[in-house]
Amino acid sequence: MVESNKDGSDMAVTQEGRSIELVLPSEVGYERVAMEGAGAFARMLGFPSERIEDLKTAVAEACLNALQHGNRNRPGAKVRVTLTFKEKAISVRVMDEGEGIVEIPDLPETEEAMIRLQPPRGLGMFLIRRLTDAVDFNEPTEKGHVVKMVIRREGCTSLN
Amino acid sequence: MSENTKIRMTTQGPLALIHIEGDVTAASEAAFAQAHRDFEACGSRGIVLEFDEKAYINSGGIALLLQFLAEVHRRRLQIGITGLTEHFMKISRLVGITRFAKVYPSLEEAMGNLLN
Repeated sequence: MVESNKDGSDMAVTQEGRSIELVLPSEVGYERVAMEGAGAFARMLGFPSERIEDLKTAVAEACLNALQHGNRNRPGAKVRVTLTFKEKAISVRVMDEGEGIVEIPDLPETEEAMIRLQPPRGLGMFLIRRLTDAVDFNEPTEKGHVVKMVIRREGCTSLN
Repeated sequence: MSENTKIRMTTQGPLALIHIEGDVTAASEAAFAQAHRDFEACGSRGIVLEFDEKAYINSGGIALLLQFLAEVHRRRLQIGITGLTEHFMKISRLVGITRFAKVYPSLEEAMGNLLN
């Protein structure tokens, strides 16, 4: 392992192209395995703590959607998570065995939910959108449905 | 009730202090319902939610938290939150939690300032 500079640049160069893959059962709770794995991967690459937390939340929420909504908690169905480091960014692919997301809300239904005093929906996708630098919720593949996200080492993470 | 959600309530003067630790997820609904019954029974003027620094909160838990805050807010009670990590403070602003509750850096500040 190469020591990193303050900004993690040396380590980033040596780790260029590195990739990890996790295969999860469709059971609530396993999203945290992916979350912690993603966090460890980003730490090795010298990502700052704020970006690591953004990545962990985005990965956890994408996996939760995949196992609950994509695979519908079916025993035997898998969620495959791949993280690849390239050009100062981590690309994440979360693949389930479902048919994709039919409706992607622009915003969580917070206002309406508050009036009706019911929990808002769509918060997971909303958080993914706001915490990542790029996201594609419906990448079609032959083997299943993929959510693709990109987190840059020096990213936005703004409140825009 | 989620076995991993631990919510307990105490009172300090006019305030109810609700301490939350463990996993706050969609499975925490019963724990929040119990907390709601507890603070209603004690007749407090305000509520401070104190999160354990190791608490794990996902979107399902945030949804329940927002619902809980909206219910308390409708009763015109003051709500404070403390113990949030820097990352969850950011998420709180993103999802609108801060529209219902004031976020304090420490329990002491929350207890001292909420009703002022």
